Amino acid sequence: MADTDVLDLPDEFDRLLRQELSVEPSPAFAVRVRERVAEQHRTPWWRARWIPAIATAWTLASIAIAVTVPAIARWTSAPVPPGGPVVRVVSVQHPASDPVMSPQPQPSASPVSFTRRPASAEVRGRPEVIPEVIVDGRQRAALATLFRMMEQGRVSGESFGATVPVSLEPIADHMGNITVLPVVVSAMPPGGVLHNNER
Amino acid sequence: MNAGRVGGVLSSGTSMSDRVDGYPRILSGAPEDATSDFEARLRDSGTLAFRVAYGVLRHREDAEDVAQEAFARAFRGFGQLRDRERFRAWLVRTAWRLALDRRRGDLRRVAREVAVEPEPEASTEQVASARERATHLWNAIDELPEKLRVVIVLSGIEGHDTCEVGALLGIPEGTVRSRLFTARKALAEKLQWLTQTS
Repeated sequence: MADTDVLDLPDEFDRLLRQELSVEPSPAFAVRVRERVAEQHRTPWWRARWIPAIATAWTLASIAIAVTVPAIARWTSAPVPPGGPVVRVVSVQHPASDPVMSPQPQPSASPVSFTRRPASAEVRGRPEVIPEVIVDGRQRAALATLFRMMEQGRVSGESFGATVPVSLEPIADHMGNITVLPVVVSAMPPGGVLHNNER
Repeated sequence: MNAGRVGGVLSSGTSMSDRVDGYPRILSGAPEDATSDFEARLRDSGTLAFRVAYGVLRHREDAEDVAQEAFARAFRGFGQLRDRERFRAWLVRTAWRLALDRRRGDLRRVAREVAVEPEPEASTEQVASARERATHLWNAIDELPEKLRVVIVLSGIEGHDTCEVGALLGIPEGTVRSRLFTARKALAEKLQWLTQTS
């Protein structure tokens, strides 16, 4: 061992270490090395090359199934009114002081709403925007009655179409022209103006 | 050593036409030359790899297994390891690292399976036999930091001098000298009691 003379480790330990490290491998060592080399090369190339691809494809297929199956289940279990309107009906509560609405019976707490059959785009995870129509309590009750009768078969799509009013905007039909008088702007008198226009 | 003798053992998986003297034809360059080169490296450095692993594991079968694994890995990258010195340095470092990994795994397994009982303190009245002295020497070496341990083990193998150890580890010779000095000093301090009893 080099540099023994300048170090203080006793020679006996040097000899002991060299003796301990003078071990020889078994005669079959080289043969086993060759076997090991062959063994690591024994895996067929196609298996080693395709295992990652197969694993990736399997993972992607699992993810696709996991996403698609619940969507299809939702699609098939959604309530579909026969020929119903493609709108989401939301009921609103009028204030109690409303003289028009006060004598009417109060609607139930839950608004009437249904979801139409989702389009294929929704199944693929892109929800479509459903237009909302805000109705008051009377309209909500009327729509609930209409939907119930349609479910019971008492009202068909054709008979419902026959009851649709000619004009869908009755308010606009009965509203006359609104005339706005010109506004005169004058200088403010000195001392200002009180709330009731008194100086 | 005739590699062709084990050709039958290696014949499964690939045809003999894909092999040269029992080796798969995965070496770059001329296969015959590569195979003979690898055989030469195996003859030249097989014992060195085994001893390096033995210096860590102190178990013949485990050391052989680690050295075999190191050669198997060397075979995979033999295209870049054709140079003899480079091959030896790579092999030594790989064998050392694999042996350390094996030893850590063994220690973890032993720690899980049995409660480790501390070794009884050797009294000064005890006269250590040669085997016991070797055990104490190895225990002292095990307590050294890794960079000192590898230097002391490599310098104890086949009488490597500091220049050769530096080449194997890829560090300057002066660094080897410094580490060797520190390691030997630490060993002397750890084994001082043993020297006094003898």
